[in-house]
Amino acid sequence: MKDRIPMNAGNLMKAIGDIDDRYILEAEPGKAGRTAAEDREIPELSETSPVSEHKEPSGQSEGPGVIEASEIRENRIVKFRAGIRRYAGLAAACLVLLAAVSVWNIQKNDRMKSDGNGAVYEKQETEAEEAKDAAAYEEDAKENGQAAPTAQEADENKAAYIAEDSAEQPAGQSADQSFAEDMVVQPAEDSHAAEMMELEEEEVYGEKELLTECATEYMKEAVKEESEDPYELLPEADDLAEAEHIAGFSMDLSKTDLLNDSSGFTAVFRAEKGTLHIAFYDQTVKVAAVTKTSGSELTPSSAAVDQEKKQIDGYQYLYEIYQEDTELSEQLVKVR
Amino acid sequence: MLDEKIIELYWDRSEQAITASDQKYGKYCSSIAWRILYDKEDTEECVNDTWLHAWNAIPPQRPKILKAFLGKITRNLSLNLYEKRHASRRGGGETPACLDELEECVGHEGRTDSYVERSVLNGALQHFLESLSEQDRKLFVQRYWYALSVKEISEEADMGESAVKMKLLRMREKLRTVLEREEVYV
Repeated sequence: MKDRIPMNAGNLMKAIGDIDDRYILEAEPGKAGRTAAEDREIPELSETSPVSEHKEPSGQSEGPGVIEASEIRENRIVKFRAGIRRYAGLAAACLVLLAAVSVWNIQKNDRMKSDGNGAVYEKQETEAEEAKDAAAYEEDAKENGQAAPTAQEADENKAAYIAEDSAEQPAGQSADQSFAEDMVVQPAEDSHAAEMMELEEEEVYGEKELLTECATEYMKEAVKEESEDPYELLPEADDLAEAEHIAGFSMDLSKTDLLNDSSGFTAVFRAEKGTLHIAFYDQTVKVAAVTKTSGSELTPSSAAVDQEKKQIDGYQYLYEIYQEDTELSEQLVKVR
Repeated sequence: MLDEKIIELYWDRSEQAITASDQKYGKYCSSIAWRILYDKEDTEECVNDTWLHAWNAIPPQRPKILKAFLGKITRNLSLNLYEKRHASRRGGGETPACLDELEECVGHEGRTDSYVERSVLNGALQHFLESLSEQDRKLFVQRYWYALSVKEISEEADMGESAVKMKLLRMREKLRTVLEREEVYV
């Protein structure tokens, strides 16, 4: 009778205190736990921190040093991966911005080059200016009582202009040759402009691709932790029709995205006409909840509250994940 | 100072053992007590009592891992003090939340007068912990041994708070099943 204790939460908590030492050391809080505790100004703590214990050559083969060192390495890897995931969206946006700036810069440089050497652009402008000047000249001549130049005078002026222009050309190159060369440039310029337009279109397409890729990567990461096959939690073929009926939209794999959680619940995302539909379900309950959004706000359907507690928990969990990750929700909505 | 050396000091009945323990593990034990009690004076009291209990326990005991040994003493003392201080009311900190959560595991078909063999309970807990994945085990121990908040655990594990809550819920359900299956209740 001595060893019998009343079964209550307090005694259970005390019993947990007697667990194996290695589990205690294995789960010893790292930086986050210590920081939180230190923030509360625990009184008169000694200077020896748990971190310094890692460095101590204690000689204990099963001591804290061995376990904690691997734990720290593992935590770092996990945090590094999470960091990459977290900032993938930001990096994608930066890349898109960088690409847009590059394209704009190339276009600007190209235009500057045309201004300097492109005879076509210059020529067109010269012709327009000439026409304008001629009109102004005629008007001026009329006002001053002078007659407009005759056809012969015009030809003479043109010959003089050509002679003057050819004097500026390199030796052995006539004005006509120069003009012909200028003419050859034009198709090249046009093809370049077409290339630029294509490139611009590719950039727009690339942005969408990047965002899609980012969202897909996120889901892959979320899925990878628990399951190698992201689709293994999909309903069986017989259940699919019922699931689709409750969800109110087709769960065609080629048109939906999946997000599995560790508890076995799955979210199916499907976009239609600017609205993002989401169904939450697991294999046993088929569809736990259906919701939809036209922005970043989700509106749970009544199905969410009609289900058993277990289903609501699962639903709320995914719902919170979705809400917490505004980056993901924004991307999904934007991509659709 | 090496743990072995500190233990030798206890065995030699040298008071330096307490100073060395405090220097090396004072912060560790304070953190454990603080998370349960959330009170400066009570934390100090428990940590000081820890050295006294260690002094009385060594010898005859010779702990394999001094850190865990001292941590367990601090935790038990803190829980006892918590019960004493909060006999009629629930205070701050994570302990009330932990106790509320564990309450789910001890209900047994409406019986309120269940008793349990301490050794059987310890064995069942050991089996339960062995059955968990390393990650889940860490979450469970951090919550119910170290009394870390869900937020702190989620930061440690780099998971969402809701994910941690969900995992803890499922582990409690599993623990309840284990306790019932192994007929811990008498």
